Amino acid sequence: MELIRRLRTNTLAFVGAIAIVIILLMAILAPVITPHDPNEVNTADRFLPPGSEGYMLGTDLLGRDVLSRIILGSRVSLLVAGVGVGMAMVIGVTFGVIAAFWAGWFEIIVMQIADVLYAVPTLMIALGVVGLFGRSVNAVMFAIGVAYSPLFARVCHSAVVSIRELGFVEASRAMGASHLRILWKDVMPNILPLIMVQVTVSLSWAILQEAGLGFLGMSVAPPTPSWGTMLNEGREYFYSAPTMPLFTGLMVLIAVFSFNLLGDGLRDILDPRAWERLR
Amino acid sequence: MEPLLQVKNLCAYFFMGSSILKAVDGVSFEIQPGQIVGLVGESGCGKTTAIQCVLRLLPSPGRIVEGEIWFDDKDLLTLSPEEMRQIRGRHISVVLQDAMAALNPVIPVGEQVADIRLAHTTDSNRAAWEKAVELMGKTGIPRAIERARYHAHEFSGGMQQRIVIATALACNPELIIADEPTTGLDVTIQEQILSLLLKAREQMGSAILYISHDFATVVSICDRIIIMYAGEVVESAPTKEILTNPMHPYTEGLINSIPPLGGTPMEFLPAIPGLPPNPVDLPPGCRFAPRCAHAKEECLAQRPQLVARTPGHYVRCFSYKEEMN
Amino acid sequence: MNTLVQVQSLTKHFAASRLWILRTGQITKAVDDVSFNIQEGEVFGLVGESGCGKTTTGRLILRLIEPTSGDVFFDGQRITDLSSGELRDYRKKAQIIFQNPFSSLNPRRSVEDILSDGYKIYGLAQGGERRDRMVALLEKVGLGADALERYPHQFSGGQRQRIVIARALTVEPQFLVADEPVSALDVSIQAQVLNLLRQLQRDLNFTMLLIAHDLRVVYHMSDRIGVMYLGRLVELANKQDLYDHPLHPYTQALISSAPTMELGRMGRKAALKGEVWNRMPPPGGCVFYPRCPIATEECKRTVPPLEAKGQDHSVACIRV
Repeated sequence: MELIRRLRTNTLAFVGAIAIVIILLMAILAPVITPHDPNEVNTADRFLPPGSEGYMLGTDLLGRDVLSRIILGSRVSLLVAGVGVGMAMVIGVTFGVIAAFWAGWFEIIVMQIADVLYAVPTLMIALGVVGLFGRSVNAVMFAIGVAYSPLFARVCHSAVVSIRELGFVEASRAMGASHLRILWKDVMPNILPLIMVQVTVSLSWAILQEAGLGFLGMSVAPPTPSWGTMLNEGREYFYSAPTMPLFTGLMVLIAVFSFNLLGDGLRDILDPRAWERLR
Repeated sequence: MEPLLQVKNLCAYFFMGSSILKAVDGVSFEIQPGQIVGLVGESGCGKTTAIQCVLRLLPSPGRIVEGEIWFDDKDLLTLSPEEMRQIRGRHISVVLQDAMAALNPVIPVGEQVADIRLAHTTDSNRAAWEKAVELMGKTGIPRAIERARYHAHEFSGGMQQRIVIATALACNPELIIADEPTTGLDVTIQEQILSLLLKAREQMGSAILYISHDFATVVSICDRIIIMYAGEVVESAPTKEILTNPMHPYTEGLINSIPPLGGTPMEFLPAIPGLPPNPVDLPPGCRFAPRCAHAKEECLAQRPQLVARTPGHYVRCFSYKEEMN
Repeated sequence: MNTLVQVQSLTKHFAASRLWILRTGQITKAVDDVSFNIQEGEVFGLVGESGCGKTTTGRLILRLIEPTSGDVFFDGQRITDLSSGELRDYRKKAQIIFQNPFSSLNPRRSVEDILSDGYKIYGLAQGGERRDRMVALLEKVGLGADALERYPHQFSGGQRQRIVIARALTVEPQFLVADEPVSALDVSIQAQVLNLLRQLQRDLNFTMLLIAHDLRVVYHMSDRIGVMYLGRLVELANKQDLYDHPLHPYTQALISSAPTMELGRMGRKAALKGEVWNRMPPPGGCVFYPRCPIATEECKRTVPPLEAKGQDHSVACIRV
């Protein structure tokens, strides 16, 4: 596909893409590839340093293999980020596009709500959701979905506002195309690249978000590992046995960085080409 | 008389990866002091690139590969950026097509005109401002004293262009380069702008290099016309001769492509078939030959030189006129 | 000859804001009480400068925007109150080609995809037959079948305009509005596209409304011409009459400022002072009053109606 070819020309984006693929594989194959049972408590081998026999990254406060926990933890982090952003995308794109298409009162109301929602820190939304539904993966996903949807709504709204004035949209109207046809054939293909970029960027934020919320104790309950909860656990022992949170943090960094690289690269590859020529 | 501007064999190419775009390929022409010379050509012919070369404002990946540009005893291509900066705005000024883009939207227009004077002359702030107001009045902006404080968007398109012309005239330049200054303006306003340029020549003695794709506006104010095609000059002669005796088939084709107003209505215009050549992949012989009704074998194989067929009338064509005789 | 299109007192006002609650009473009369007819098979030219309302008029006739008041009749049918189903049928009969060949084609759709719209929406042809028709149409506009798989950015301005024309013709319309079809093109390509339009009109027999600001183009292509200024139709005549005997001072100015290939043109006095936006026309008076060389006090107070002054020649001026 043309996209992959173009991706290869942009080295940084390509690197990001490869890294993401590796991380995804890691998450999918987690139960198979973990060297130890991530939840197996082994009090005899607590706080083993990295490089110890059989424990490449050492063990944590309960003697569990850090590497295995990081691998398994990716599942929660990626799931939360993926579903959360997916939800945000569906809600945000739908409302943003419809608001721009239908203009008038609906547009104003929707965009104002989006602005207000955007102004509220994700943390507060998460607190509210957790307060209602208790701490769980679902709560975090829902919180992210709600908190990130205004971003998608605004991006789509402003894109559609520019597109709706363009000649080819009017041409389709003049041809007698239905609203749905115009949305599908003329509008969507032109905002898809923007949405894709927004998704990759949001994914990187969402991973950090989960890490942050987990760190504050709002994500999954123990013993299920997630990068955020692992960071939380490692907090108390940070000065005596920092390797666990350090490696976890490094993993978060790699994941976020990869998504960012891909997002930036996609932005370059997809956006300027078509748009510049239209002016 | 010594020419004011002399362009000799200018070649400017754009280097893009493996391909070379020959935007200007061997262009030569001259402008006498106080003369209005028109540069006519369609998109891609290189006219805009040519003036970017004169101003030394060629964007990368473009490079001037060969040639000399003599202005007032100096080869502009040998000057340092600082020396060039002193020439732009003071000795050679520019009027571009999109006035709204040329004017800063957040600064009062009077200041923008005054700035040119402040940059190049020893005027005080006050003197520059007064001169700016005077120029705006001269270029036909009513209530200039008051309106010099307004911002660009408060003026109509025609008025904005007058302000741009005022900035161009600020330091009494010897040469004004006007690139499509009336395109996009209403026809009744176009006439006003053209009159203004003529007035500038009469009152200040400035020479004008007037670039346009519209042959008729060029005919209306230029003393001499240069026609460009695919990076080359294909014909160059006094306006009267271009009208009465166009020698190059492209020139003739261009003139005939314009729908005539009044006169016997014709069903089809004698249009030039085909498209201009790809500047990255130019044909070996005459660049117009693929579209030329009079092309011979010689035309496809060899590139013709620019030759004076009659004194002052240059053509780049092998034998067109001879054939007609 | 049949009257195909009837425009009656068509008016379009634009307010500063879309929401009625924020309107402060500032309205722009983009099109103001315009009436004219277009005969079947003719080319009707609408000419005027910026702000004259010609483009808006074209869009109103096609109901791409809704009129504030007035009527449009197409083949006897009132367009201004069609149901959405009937409106769709109308769209099949009345098509438009736009000015900007760069923005009127979706850069993300192939030429084949773009051209297939008409066939799909109206169920005109499927599969192989549809493809055959598209290829035939492309050839008719001077492009090859290989254009189908390509994307708009791979074509030059003139070629894109040909694709735009082909698209409009896929549904075999009776009426074509050409809104500044050549103003974005180079002169030599303009001539090609104008010739193409003329050839197509002869072959396919559609009626055309040509909208342009260049009088030379309008004169060359049209049978009859309407001159507009600031939303009003100021003169209406067949082209020879308009050129030989222009009655309205604006028409006279337009003709004399049209760039022609003659020497010494600039020696004459400039046709018109001031600009369209210089002074707002007096409410209740002639829109041309601020710039008119022959205006009187009465012109300030009267809105001149469009009146016939001869065989097929109407003018809106009380001084003529």
